[in-house]
Amino acid sequence: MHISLTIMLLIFLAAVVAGIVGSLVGLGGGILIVPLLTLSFGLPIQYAIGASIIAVIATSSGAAAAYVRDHLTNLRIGMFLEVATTTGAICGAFLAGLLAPNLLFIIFGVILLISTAPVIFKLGEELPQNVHNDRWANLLHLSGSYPDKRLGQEVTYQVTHTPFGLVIMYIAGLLSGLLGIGSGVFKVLAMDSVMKLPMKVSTTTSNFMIGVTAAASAGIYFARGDVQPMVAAPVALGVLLGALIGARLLQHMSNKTLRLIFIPVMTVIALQMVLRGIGISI
Amino acid sequence: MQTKAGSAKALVISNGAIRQDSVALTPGKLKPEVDMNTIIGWVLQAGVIVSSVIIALGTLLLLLSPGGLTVDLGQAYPHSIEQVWTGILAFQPQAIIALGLLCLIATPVLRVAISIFAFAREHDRMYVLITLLVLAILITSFVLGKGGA
Repeated sequence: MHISLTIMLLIFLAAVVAGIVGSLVGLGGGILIVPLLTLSFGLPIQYAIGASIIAVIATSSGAAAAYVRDHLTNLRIGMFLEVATTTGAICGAFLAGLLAPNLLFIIFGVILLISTAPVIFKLGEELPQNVHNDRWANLLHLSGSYPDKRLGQEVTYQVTHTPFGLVIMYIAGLLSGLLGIGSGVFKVLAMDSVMKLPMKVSTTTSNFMIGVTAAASAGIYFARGDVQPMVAAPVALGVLLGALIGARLLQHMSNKTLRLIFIPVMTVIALQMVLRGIGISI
Repeated sequence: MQTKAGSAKALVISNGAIRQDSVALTPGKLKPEVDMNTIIGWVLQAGVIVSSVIIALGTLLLLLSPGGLTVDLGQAYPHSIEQVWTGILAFQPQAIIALGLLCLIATPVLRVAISIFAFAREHDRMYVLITLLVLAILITSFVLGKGGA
């Protein structure tokens, strides 16, 4: 298979679109890259995953920089849970090397379908009430506070169900390493719905963790030769540019209607991935 | 176990006091003069900018190089640090792109490494250890990746 200048340019443009859509819908560009590269460009799924994991590092690091400076991210919770996500990511990357590509397509489709759920249903609460630190949260100093711009005050919070959160984080890391996605949906789920963190803290801390999680599997993909520079370069640059444009657009529009438009699109892509895995291509 | 539970309780009660002097790394209350959040944010941003510039430069060189316009996907490309290094010395566009990709992968790793110093500065020994553990896992992944290739 050859990669020509035209194909590289097309991959770049497609990655820009994926970056814009990802940041508008709040899923991050990564989850759209693999379907794009495999279904539209016919690339082998391991190259798609290798390029995608690189793009995930790029967008999450870019966004995390801003959130960290706004003091929304809880660096302690992030660091502690990264023990689980990075371990999971290594397992996932090795598992990806063992599983048949068809199976990867099917798993990807199913995970993509699950990932669209939070776009429809709001998980967790903005400011959970009556949460009390569990033993682990006390031991590890996980509770904290953040400045809430909308409320105009410092919000303090406590943390619960830490061990269960850690288990879900391992699974999130596993999926990230297996499929080349950020798996932010699962990270937010662990912090938001299980550990009962305020929405703003869980989304920004999740974003913060995605880069480190992805780095753990990216090293393995790179060494294995699955990060093809000709594919990864236009994808990384395109998604970054798209995410920047998306962030600008978000300030001028409500993303509610957009979300509703993209749910059927995501569902169709998810089904196509599953069908491809079964061996039917449309 | 008894003493642990006891000290945990004491922590809750004196939460406010503890937070005030030890938690520049926790969002919210910060010592203005040692804002590690700002430094970590800066490292992440600089890493992304530097690596995208290198990737863009490599891509540009690729477009300008003869025969660079069509590349066989199956063709060998650098995927170890030694290969990237020799490739750069030979001014290969693909190796320069790979260097940018490696810088991007290294950005979160660098962030973890810097956090070790940040926690050490706050005399938070437990988090120095947790951060060292994360760094060890990351380094293990690179070593494992090489072996498993």
